[in-house]
Amino acid sequence: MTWIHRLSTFINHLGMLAAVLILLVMTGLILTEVVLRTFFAASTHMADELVGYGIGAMSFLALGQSLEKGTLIRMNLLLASLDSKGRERWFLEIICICFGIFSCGMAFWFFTRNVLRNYERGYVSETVAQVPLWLPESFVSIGLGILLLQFLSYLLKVLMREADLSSKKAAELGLE
Amino acid sequence: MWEIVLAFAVFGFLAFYLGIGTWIFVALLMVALTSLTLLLDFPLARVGSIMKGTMWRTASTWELAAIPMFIFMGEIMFRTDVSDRLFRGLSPWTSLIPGKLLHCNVVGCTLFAAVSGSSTATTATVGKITMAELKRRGYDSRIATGSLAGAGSLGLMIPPSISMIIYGVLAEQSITGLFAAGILPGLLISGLYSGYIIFRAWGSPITGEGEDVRYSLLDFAKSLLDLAPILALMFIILGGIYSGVTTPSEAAALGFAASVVLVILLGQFSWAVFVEALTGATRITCMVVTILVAAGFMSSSMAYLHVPQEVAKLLAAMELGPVGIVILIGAFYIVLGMFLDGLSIMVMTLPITLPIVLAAGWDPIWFGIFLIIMIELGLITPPIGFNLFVLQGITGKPIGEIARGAIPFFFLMLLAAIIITMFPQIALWLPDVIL
Repeated sequence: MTWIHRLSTFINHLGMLAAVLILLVMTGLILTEVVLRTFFAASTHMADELVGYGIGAMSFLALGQSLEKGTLIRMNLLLASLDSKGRERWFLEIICICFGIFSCGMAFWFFTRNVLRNYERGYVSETVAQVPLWLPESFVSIGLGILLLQFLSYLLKVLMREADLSSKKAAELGLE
Repeated sequence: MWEIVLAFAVFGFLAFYLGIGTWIFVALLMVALTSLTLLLDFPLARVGSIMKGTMWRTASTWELAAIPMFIFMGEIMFRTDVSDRLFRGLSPWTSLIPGKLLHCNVVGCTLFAAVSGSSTATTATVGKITMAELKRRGYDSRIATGSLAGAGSLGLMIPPSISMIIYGVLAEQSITGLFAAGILPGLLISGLYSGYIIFRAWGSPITGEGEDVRYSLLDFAKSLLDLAPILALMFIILGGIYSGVTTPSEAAALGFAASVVLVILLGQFSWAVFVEALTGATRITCMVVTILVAAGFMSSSMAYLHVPQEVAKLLAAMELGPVGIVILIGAFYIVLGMFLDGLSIMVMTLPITLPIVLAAGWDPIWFGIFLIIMIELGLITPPIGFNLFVLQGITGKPIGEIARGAIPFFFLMLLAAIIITMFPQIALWLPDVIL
């Protein structure tokens, strides 16, 4: 089963790489807009729209690695009070993962369906840029897909009793 | 009556999903899914359509782009010697006031908060050097950790602030206005903290070796050079926003670029530092935005169930008056702050509390500042207090001991909340002048 863990870690890295690149492009685009407006009295007329798509895309693409590294926070009063090697803690973790798979799976299904529909019908945004609507939303679908793979990998680890459930409070709050 | 039952059922779902320890964004999605399918019997296709629509609308809000950039600045500064420079730069000046180096915590956090959007980055960066130095020089450890825990939370109040960006987006208020509104309350809190340290230093000695250090005029001149990087960044970010030249997102992009240039000029740039800061900022942004997106969906589901209206009706029946409403909401936030992080509290409660507060006649910008003080209080209240955890990581002391040290600073912040409630102009004067 280690292949699925390695695969999800590798895909998480790719997602993070794409997210970081999008952040750099967004920053560059905003700076270009500032320079154009200040020195040339001009505008790209699309920076706001593209930056909006960018923030959504980067946030979802980074989801897999954020879950893997413990950055996604959870309220751990009950979890921390249970014995990390006990049956109750193990069972609760499986329930939490199942809720994650169910809710994110639903979001993945509806986003992907919408992306395919927008692609088939050729919808574009009603702005100067006329961005095909399937494009920015497809990043959300990909990000949710990466997250689902990470949830699945983590579920298998927990089921096989390979996951360490005794993480510190600070780590669970994403402070490490 | 049935609506009230439905409203309480939603809160029941929320308590259940959060309580069992599900990731917060998953818990919010599950509350919305359960409410719409079980309570309102919506078909799955309709639920999916609402889910997709609200999530995408929230995620693609361009004002949120400032968040990763402001976090990046804090992250990259944390990985350089800026904290040493802050300490060296502030030491000569604070040696002139009773309490001496303890003021480095308060003033250091106030200055660093002006170049970083997050309170954890502020606490961690300032604490990285001051905690060890204060211990080495024999300062009272309780007041040292307490003052840092309290002052670190100023990262939320002193602009640029991630919390203000999120409040601005959720409440549809000007982020520039909020950034302006946070300055005076931030300085008020920092003034109260410094005042308390001076008072304590006069009452009984709390300073150690620091008493004997004498600084020459040259030391004072050198200190300005040490503070120059932070002051330059402050000038670029806040100067751009308040002069009206840049929007908060543009100031964030400029700050991003300026912080990289600064780190290069200081000779501390490396790819490892750059990549760590970038990935750190991206992960925290991912956490923030996904919670925001899930809360957007939950907020829609609550609107379908008329939860905000029912809670408002319930409060209206109590005939509390504007101040009574704010006291009740404030107490509610302090209790929530013990168990939840500030971001989750804000996104989950705002759809309910904001209309109530506005109906009571309070200004939305003022409420943003009040809410942020309440969230700051939550940062230093156990069992869940982010700043307490950061300080635990730095000092290795038990949470209880750090929390006890933070008690006076908790009450001082509460006093600040009372003062701005009695005198709302403290928050509203500067936005009126600037906008």
